[in-house]
Amino acid sequence: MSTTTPSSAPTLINLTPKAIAHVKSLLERQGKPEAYLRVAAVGGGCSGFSYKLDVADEATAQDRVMTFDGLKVLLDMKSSLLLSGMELDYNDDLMNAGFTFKNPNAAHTCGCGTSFSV
Amino acid sequence: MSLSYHADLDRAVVRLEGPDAATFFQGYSTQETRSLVPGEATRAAVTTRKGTMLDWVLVLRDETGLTLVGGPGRGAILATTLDRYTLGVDVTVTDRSAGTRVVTLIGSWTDLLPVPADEASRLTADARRWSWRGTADGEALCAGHPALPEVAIWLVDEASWPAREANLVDRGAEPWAADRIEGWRIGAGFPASGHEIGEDVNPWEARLETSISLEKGCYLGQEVVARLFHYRKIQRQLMGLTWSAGTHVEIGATLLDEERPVGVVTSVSGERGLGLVKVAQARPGVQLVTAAGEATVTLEDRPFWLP
Repeated sequence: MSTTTPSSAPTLINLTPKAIAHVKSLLERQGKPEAYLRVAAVGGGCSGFSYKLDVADEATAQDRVMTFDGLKVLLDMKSSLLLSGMELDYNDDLMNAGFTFKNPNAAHTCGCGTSFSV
Repeated sequence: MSLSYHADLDRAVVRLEGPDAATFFQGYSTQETRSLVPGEATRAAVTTRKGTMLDWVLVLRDETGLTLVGGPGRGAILATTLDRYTLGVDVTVTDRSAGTRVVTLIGSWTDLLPVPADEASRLTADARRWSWRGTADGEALCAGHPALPEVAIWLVDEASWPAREANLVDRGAEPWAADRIEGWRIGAGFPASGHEIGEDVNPWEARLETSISLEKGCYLGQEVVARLFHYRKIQRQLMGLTWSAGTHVEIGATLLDEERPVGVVTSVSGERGLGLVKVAQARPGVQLVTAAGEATVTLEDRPFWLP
């Protein structure tokens, strides 16, 4: 799977073209084409940490801002410790549609795919 | 009715403070804790990713967070582990073990409550959830377990303890030394950290059924805990043990059935103990021998909360 690198800041994570297209489509539908995609790791889930995707209207001082084909992505500093090197993909199969996370820091991922341990 | 007490200074007391405290702890324990309201308490196992236990804790919910009361020497590991997962949530984890006495009261402890006696009966109302009360100076008083109405857990600030203890003694309360409270614990079948609770034991093996919710959703280790139950993969279970007077049995002794290892002794007090025994042999009345052959051990269905 090919990935798109950010146009400005050095990359900490990567998004596949499918992921970028799907997020852009979601933002368009929400009427917020200029909003950010926030990618974060939070406590919770079967393996201790969970991935979290959210729409943010603005960046904070703790955020690293990356741009992927015009899509602005935020990653806070604490999350970057757990997500550095991760690839965010989007699967549009009928059976398994949704975002997938390929995180090299994850020692174990639970069955649902959204929780991980390090 | 008399009152006895034992005061521990090394029991875990961990504070989770903040608006996300209850939701956060829901993700790291076997019990439904998110829906606790201030004044309610429950017991929960704090699990590892492998579904074994970091500790088994009493959970007290108040207006601003949760207080967890765990086993001896477990405060630092509990606090450190939970703090590691506070990413993205508004929770502060503090180990308060060193400044708090955890006092076990056995007997007529309801006299200590600043509430009417009829309201005190609510403290033993439910197998999974019950209520607790704050006392003077931010102290807490809670039933130790609904199945043991004569037992309460009292959290006292260390600086206040000498005066509190003097008051207890003035009222005729009897202090119990460590070996006596340990004997009582084993007789009641109450599992303890470092014995029947640990990172090599899962909560089903320790027979903490009433501390496990199978409906609460995801938490650390949940997949393993659920699978053990639904696929009937529980290998061992906690049993009471008795043996003849004068027989020497040690913690860690292997229990044999026709020369096959089927269990291990986890707690000992006088002529009785607790042990983890393979399910096939875990029936009251079954006799096993220790590996050294010096003792015949009879199994009992001891845990107090079982019918």
